[in-house]
Amino acid sequence: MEYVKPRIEDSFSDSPVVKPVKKADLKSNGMHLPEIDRTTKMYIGGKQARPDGGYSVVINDTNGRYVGEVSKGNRKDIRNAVEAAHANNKWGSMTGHSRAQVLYYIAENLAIRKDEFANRLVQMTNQSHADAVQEVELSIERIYTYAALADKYDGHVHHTIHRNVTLAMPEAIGVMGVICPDESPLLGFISTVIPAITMGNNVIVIPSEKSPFSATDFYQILETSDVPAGTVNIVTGGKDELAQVLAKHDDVDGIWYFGTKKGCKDMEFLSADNMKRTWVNYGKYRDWSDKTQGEGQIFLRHASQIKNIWIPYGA
Amino acid sequence: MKIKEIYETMSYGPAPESAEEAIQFLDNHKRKFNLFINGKWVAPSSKEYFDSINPSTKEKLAQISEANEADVNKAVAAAKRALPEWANVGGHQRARYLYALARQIQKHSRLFAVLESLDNGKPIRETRDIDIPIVIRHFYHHAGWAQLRDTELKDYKELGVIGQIIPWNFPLMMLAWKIAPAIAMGNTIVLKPAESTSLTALLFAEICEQIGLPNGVVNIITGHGKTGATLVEHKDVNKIAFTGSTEVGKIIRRATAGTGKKLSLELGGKSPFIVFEDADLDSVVEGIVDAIWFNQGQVCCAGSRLLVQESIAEKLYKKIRTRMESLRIGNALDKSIDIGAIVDKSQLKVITDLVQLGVDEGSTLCQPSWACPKEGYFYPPTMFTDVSPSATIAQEEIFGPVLVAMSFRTHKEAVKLANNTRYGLACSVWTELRTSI
Repeated sequence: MEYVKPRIEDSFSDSPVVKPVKKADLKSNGMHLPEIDRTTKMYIGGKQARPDGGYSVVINDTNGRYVGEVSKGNRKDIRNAVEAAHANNKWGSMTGHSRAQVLYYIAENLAIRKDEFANRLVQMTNQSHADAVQEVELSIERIYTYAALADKYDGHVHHTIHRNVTLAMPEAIGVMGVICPDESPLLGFISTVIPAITMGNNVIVIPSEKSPFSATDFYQILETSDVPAGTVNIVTGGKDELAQVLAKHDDVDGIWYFGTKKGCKDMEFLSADNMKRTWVNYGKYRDWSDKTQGEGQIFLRHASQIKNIWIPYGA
Repeated sequence: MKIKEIYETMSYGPAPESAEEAIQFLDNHKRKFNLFINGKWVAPSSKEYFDSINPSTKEKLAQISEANEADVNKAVAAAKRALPEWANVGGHQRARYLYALARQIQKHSRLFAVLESLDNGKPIRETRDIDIPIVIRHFYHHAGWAQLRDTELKDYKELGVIGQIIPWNFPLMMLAWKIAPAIAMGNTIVLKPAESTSLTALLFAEICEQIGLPNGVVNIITGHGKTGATLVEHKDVNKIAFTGSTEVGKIIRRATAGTGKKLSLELGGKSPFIVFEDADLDSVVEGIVDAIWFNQGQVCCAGSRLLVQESIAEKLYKKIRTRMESLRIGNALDKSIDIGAIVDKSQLKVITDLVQLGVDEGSTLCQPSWACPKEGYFYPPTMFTDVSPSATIAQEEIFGPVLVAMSFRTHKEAVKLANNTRYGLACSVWTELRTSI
């Protein structure tokens, strides 16, 4: 595997793969009651947390219209998230089967709120409602795929030397940073975060910078699906700034980055110090809605490392 | 010595392996080696050569070419030219070539073993019985993967031109680990052996010629760190595979960041060797000999940190001291030695300095009463006790025959001590009880 690459990589795109955008519909807003404000916080150690810095970022849709605000995360928030991830030793010690149960539960709770998540996608990306519904459907299906694999992506037994067996066991990398693609705000989030936690990692997620609300809406799903606190931590804000903090952090064991060429270079360069495992897209983009590109065991392989255990037997 | 005396002492004399054929090989090349590029032996553009030394005697073995940027360009260009045909020739054809390489090395296995011992200083028993047989197995194994790639790995393809940089501790074995899987999958390679141990790689190049491996599939360029750095930075190299120090690994990571070059790094270790009180101590002692004195301790996954349960610590230390006393050190070609020479002068200095630091930091030094031979680069088997977990010698990789011992009371403490390292390469656990594992 070290001397080959997946053929599918040849079909990745040079620019992000996005669904067609509808023009803004310029109906004037008449006077009406103001809606109840929903403040979007961050999600650290199973709790919603206000940003350390006390700043927020305005998020517009693809036509430039105001959608809302998210917390502007900073270095301190990332450090808190890393600590929370390390404090959680529940998730990694669960069996693949138990993790699958939690993943199915996530899918179940997302399915109940399908319309809400689809509407959110339309609101942020101005894609058609039908495309948005499909993105949610695909997200649910993708969670199923990894739930299915959670107790099946398994190790090997090698017959190495006389009176020895070698168990090659895939283990979680530990605490991982997951920097999500900007495009496909929900499916991109699901396609990266779910495989990473499937293998038992605890993650610090930086969701789509342009369209973060699918991720922030997801807190409530995590909270109601028996996901242990600290398994998924979400910090919103400037993608590359936060990603660099993660890459430099000595207590982060691995990092995935989906974004620009420049960002990929930074990740690899800054990860050298503590020898993090990195997986970056080198500025090549997957079509997340295409199963051959957006999912598969290769994600689990990058979310795990093999420990070889040599066991002597007999006399 | 009289037979009666031998019965008394149970000692035995030297049993030297003949170096004749290896010397013949060096003489055939007039003790001067060029670079192996595109299936031909070419003189280095730099016109510079450096010496390869036999560390057991400090005698000069041969002159080795110093490849510069022009040579690296030439080698990478040759590998790139050879790539399309080699990738398309199909798994079965490649399997046949790998099989031929395995067979040809097997035919000349003793020549490889002797040459490796001469060049590296490792005991002939090791090269003959371990290194070279493993090399051969590797080529057979990957001949198998070449055969299977088109069916078992059909969703995958070759990466392209691979730059490979290998260390001096297992020169030919590292070459096999790097070259066999790479060419099996349809890649072409440029390999740089370590500057102190180039000879078996050059003999391997001759083997490639002999079996008629297509030109440019395997290119061997010799030289120092700068040659390696040039290879790392070459824009037509699609992957770098490196085994060596953590420090250089980090440099390579930074140099290739963002280029899309795939990277395999195999770096250092400071691996714990955990002994519980119920373990069979005599087996443990032999385990320790293999863990830290095998190959003069110059092993990335050497069991260099002995963690022993307090209740048996003194008893085990005593047994180790007795065993150290009976280890034999000497010329690598002597079949009756346990420990050979350190690879070169600079590594000997690294070991000597770190041991001095261990003494200065207050750990207790233990070495056998006998003295090492004077004519080569030798270092005696060494053990430190009373070492604190934060001592330099407990944290830094020494890459020499130096064992660092400390004790623990509970399983929990053992695990904590074992994990108290920035490395995480290997670990062994010695116990008769499965529950301890």
